[in-house]
Amino acid sequence: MQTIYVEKDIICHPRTKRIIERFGNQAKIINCEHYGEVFNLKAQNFRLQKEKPALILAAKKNKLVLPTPEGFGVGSQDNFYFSHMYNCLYDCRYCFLQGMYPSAHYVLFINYEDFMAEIIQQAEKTTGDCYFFSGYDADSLAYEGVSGFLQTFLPFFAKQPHRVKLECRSKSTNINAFLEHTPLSNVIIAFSFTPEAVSKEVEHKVPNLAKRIQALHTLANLGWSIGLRFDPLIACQNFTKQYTDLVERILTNLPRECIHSVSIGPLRFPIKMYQKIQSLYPKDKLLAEPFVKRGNVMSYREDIEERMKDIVKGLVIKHLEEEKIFQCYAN
Amino acid sequence: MSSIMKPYSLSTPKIYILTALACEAKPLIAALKLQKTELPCGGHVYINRDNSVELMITGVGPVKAAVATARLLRDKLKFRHAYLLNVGIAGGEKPIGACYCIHKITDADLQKSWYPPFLKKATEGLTTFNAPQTNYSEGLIDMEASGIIQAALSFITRDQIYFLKIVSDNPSQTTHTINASYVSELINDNLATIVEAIDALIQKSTQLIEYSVTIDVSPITDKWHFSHYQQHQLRDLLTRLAIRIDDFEPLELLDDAKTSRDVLTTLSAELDNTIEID
Repeated sequence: MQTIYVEKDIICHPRTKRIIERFGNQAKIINCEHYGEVFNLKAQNFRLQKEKPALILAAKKNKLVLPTPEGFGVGSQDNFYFSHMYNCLYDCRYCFLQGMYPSAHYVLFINYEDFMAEIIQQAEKTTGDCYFFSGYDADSLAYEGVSGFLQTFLPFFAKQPHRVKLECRSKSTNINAFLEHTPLSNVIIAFSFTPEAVSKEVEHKVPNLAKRIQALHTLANLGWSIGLRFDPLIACQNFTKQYTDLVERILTNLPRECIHSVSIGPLRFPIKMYQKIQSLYPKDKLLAEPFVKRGNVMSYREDIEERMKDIVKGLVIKHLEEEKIFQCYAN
Repeated sequence: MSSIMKPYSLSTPKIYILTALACEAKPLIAALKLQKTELPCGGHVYINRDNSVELMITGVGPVKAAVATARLLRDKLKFRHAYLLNVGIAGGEKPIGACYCIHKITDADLQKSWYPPFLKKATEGLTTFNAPQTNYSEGLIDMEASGIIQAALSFITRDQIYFLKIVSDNPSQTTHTINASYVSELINDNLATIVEAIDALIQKSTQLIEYSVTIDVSPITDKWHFSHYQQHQLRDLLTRLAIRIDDFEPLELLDDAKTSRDVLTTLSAELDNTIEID
């Protein structure tokens, strides 16, 4: 990390101090008034920044916990998401984060206790199961070494009623925080997957598939609840064979009782976001696919999308009861 | 590679250099072998032989600096891959002659800050004032940087704007010692660092060119007539096909096409064929 921007109001926060100390003299520390001065400026080049992102340490002041967009969720009515971090260590070419923010720098909100207070507030307004999704604006596990996010939030969710659930979505193999904690029945670790050849081509900097499957099996065997996310589905040569191989590698020998849910999601970009991402990576093969406008999104043609969903659902259903399989739509 | 993809060498990297004073520019003009070139709208710039480096003298103060920046970057669509470097003197509680990249620029009047990228480890924050100052506080002080960055952000991204400042005055040697030959000497003493920075920015500009893709549609538009909207569709289809199919040669597909609509239909079907769920 070459540069760390720090909001001046949190420079003395113990979490800020720990993170800065972790990088020692390697990083230039630059004070700012508000993270938006660095992060929100319109005239920025996401792609250039992605090559060497800076870290911005900040405190999030409002809208800490929000309802998920319609169509997201794994069976509950009450679904919320929260983002202790903006932007991801990985560089997946289909990821909406490329078009979401003007900057590729990592923003880490260190006021975890404020997130926890708002999670409790939101949970108190509900009666049934309510899910809090982490990993919407960043990978939940990948930056754990710096953020200490799970180290703080696992003990917090351990004290919450069983109906208040945390889903951490990730492509990381950085599972130490889970290994150091007793499995919690209200925490789901959701791993998202694409076939190996696809992953190599479009999921840049993501750990290899074998290591991720190994991490997932390790956690499942310890008793952690696992979510499987075939989301987004990517068209590829030998689609059925590639997804068969993927599903078999993941589900063979995986304890069924540990599988919380499987979701299958199509690849869809809001139109403006797609245009922005394509202008950032005009030579990318995935972004050059023959997507079509469907309503306010760019996606595969409906017949292609349906066929992909049917194939993958058919593969999963051989291993798992249908009640655990969900479809995600981001309209 | 498809023959319709134009080679990158058709574009050259571009670095714009801004200095406030002629005496700051003088050593750079000599070292980089820049030639004076009159601008059509009045004024002049200094350009090197391959047109990759262009220098303008802005005059003193943030307003003059902003106006000059806007004139220099006037052709923003042509030079979206350009980088801008401000080289100049600054005051501060630092050793005379020390050279710093700037990581934060604050406008003293607006109390607003910007955070440009930097190349080397020695960096400082800088405050821009409207008038000369002798009250040296934290960081460096100058009279142009905030004007330059505000104007430049209308044309290029923050990630393409760099500042390099050389300390000319400090509490023990204030502004009264500054004259033209003294300033040129300070720049000369730091010439190696400045040229190194320019070389690094040339590389970055080349990288930005390599990010882009240029498609030559003329072999097709010469043969069939396309409306403006159809040309847009054609360019999009050809770009996607050239990216998705190695050695894609569109004319080989279009033997039977009689109209521009036939061309677009054929190319569109070919693109659809690149996806097969089997």
